[in-house]
Amino acid sequence: MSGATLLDTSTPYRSRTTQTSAIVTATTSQTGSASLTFFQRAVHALVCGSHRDRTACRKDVAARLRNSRDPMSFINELIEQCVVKGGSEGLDLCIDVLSQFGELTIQYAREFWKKDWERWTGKKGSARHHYNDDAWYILLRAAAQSDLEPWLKTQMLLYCALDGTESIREASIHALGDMGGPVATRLLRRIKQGESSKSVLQAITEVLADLED
Amino acid sequence: MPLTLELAQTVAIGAFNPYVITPDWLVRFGGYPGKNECTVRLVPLGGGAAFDFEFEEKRVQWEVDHQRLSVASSAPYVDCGSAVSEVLALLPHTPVQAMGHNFHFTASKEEWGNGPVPMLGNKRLEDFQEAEQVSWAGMFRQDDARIEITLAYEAGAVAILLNHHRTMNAELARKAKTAGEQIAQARKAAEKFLDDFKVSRELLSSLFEVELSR
Repeated sequence: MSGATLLDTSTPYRSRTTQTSAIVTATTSQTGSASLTFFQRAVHALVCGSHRDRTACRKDVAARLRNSRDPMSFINELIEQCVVKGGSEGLDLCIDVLSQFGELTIQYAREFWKKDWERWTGKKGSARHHYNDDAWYILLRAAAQSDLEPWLKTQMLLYCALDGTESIREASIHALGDMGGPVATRLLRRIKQGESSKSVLQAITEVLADLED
Repeated sequence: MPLTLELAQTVAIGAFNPYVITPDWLVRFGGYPGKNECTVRLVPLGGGAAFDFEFEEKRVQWEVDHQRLSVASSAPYVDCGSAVSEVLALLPHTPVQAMGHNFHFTASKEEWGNGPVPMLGNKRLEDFQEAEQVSWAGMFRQDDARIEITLAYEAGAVAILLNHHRTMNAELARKAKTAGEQIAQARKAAEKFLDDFKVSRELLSSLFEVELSR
C-alpha cells in the first residue's frame, strides 16, 4: 500500500525525553486492523445476506468506507469479496456502493492501473478474461455513475476504452453509456472507427442505439 | 461463546521476488498440485502478485511482493507456516527480517453474550453517544515471540486480532556456514504456526472464556 493512500494521521507515542530517531522500520508482521475486520464482516453481510436486509447493509458498508482511515484497503476488500463471492449481482452491489465515492474510486483506479498496466500492453485482443477485468468493470461503471466532474470521467473512460484489454474496453463502452449525453455519444462514434474487436464493436452498437433512442 | 476464524496467516518480512514465487514455480518445486487448482487474484495495491490455491476444499491465499511473503487461509487446519517454511527451504539465501503469525477472530454481539467488553476509563461503548469502536490492546512475551492482542468492540460485533511476531537475528544468519543454517531460524519461526494458533486459542479461553466455532 502506498503511503499516499493511507489516511492515517495518528503518530506513534514518543516521550519528550526520547532521543531515538522516529524512523519506523518496515518489520511489522501485523496485518489488517479491527476496523478492516469489521468492514469484512459488513461486506460479507451485504454480499451473502438476504435481499431484505440489503439496503441497510449497503448503507452500513458505505458509512464504514466513508469514515475509514485506510479507504484503499477497504475498497480492495469490497471489490475482492464482491467479485469472488457475489457473482454478477456482487459486481452490481459493488458499483452501487462505489458510485457514491467518485473521488476515491478514481484514486483507487489510478493506483490499480499502476499495478495492472503491464497486462494491458502486448496482450491487447486476448480473449482470456482476467480477474482484474472484473475489478475494472466495477471501477469504470462506478466512476461513470458517480457525481465526479464529467471531464474526469471522460478522461478515465476514454483512456480505458482505447488502451485496455478487450474486456476493459467493453466495460468502458458500457460505462460511457451509463454516463450518457452528447459527449459520450460522440466519443463512442470515434472509438468505433478505430476498434477491431467484434465484441467491443457490438457493445458500441448496442450502447449507441440506447443513447440515440 | 463461539468465535469465527476470519484469517489465519503467516507473514515473512524480507526480500522476496514475485517473479520467482509464482504458481508455476510452486507447482514445479513446492509440491503443489496442478496449476488448474490455482486462481490469480486481484493485483494487490502494494504491488507484487496474489493468487489462490484451492484443493481438498481448502483455499490458500498467497501474496508476494518485494518486501513480504504472506500465506493465509480462513480454515483452522491449513498450516500456513509450513507452506512458508517450504518456500524458504527452496530459497535458503533469502534475507528474512521477521516472521509473524496473525489470527483474526470475530463474533456477533449475540455470540459474545456476556463476555467482557473493552472500557475507556469506567465507561463502555454504550455509555458514549458517538463512540464507534472501543478496543483493548495488550502485549505479551512468550519465549522468542511478542504477542499482541487487540479486542475491539462495536455496537454489533467483536473482533479479536492476535499477532505473534518474531524478529530474526541478522547476526546469526550472517555467520551461518551453510545455506540451510542461514535460513534455519526463519523456517523454525514459520513452523511455529500451529503452536502459535494453539497459544492464541488458550489466550482467548483464559482472557475471555471463548472457544473457536467447530
